[in-house]
Amino acid sequence: MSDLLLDINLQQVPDSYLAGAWRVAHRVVNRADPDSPLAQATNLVLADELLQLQAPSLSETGSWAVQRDELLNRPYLRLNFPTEEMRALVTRLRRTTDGARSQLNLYFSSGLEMQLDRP
Amino acid sequence: MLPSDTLANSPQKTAEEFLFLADFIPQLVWITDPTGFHTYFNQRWIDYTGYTLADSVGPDMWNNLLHPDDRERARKIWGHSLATGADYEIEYRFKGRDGEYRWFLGQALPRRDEAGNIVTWFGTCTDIHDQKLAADLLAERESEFTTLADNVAQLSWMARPDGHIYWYNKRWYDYTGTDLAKMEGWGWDKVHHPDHMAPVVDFVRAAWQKGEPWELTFPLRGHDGEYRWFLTRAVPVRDEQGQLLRWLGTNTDVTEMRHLQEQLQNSYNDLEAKVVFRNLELEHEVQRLRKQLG
Repeated sequence: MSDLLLDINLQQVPDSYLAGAWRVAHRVVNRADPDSPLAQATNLVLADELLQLQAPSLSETGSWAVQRDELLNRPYLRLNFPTEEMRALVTRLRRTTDGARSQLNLYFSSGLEMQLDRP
Repeated sequence: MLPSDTLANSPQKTAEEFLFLADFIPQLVWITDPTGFHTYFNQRWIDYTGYTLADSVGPDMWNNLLHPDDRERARKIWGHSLATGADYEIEYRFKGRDGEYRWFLGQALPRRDEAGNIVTWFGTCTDIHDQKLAADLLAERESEFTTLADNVAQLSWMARPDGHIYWYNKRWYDYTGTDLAKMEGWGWDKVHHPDHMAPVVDFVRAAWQKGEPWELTFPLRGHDGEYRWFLTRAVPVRDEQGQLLRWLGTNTDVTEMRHLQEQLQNSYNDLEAKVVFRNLELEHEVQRLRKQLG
């Protein structure tokens, strides 16, 4: 089986492709708050509707959903935490043909960008 | 005096005619006995070399006549013919009486008696100097061309007017891991991607017939099994009458350029999506504030 990550067409990506236990592989904080839980996160678990954020010094639980807008040719995630709600645009999703490995790029309105790897 | 019909067939007449012929033909002519001892030179030999039959005794004439680089080889080949009776043939340089060397093709055949013993060696030296220099120049040009063709950054090839490819440069073989036996003619389909094969074949089939320069981009499989994208360009070579002689083709690796183009396009698309996304976020914020105020 090829280990090559292939770009997924974001106009047709199934919601299930976005679910899973993601590890933060890379981030660009830009003008976002570097001390925010999201900027500190090491793992994001998107399971069913349950959202779990894990950082070295804290852990938060919330909910998440995939949303689409006819103006955007790609989906975005609505992430609900106890203290705030935020949205993240899916800028890229890559998967191996068997789905064993994935790479997800998110762009938050705060300017924060993340590359998530699975596993 | 002999009657004319007797004279016509006499040994004397035959000898006279041989001498006339031997002096008439444009070659240097020589005859030796079975041991290689010279018994005859024609006038052209004498005129060109300045040596007569009397000079041929001993090694001096040959040492002066033959180019130093050819002496040993000539001695071996002639020695071999004398020892075995094999036909003699060699290319060597003779020094003329003007002091200049010229290339000659030396050839000799043995004449044998009824018992098969060699009686005489008949030899000629044909001036091939101009052809030899032209051939050397051609070989030099070919070597230069091969060096150039093998060292350009592209894969390159030559094809007959109908598209039958008969030559590839070294880079082609290095990249594809193939050889001419596998590639000659239409063998290039072995390194094409099956998904791109049909349109490529359709395109080039039409292009060969049109006889005009063409270019097309398609993937080619490397020796490692990976495909890379190549921009292929072909130009027709014509003679003075406009007749198509051959095609010259190159394949330039554009994989990195395509990746960069894709990255640039992706970045542009991302940027556009981010702007729209931010605008939507602002719109949501405006709606939230309106609700709060309302």
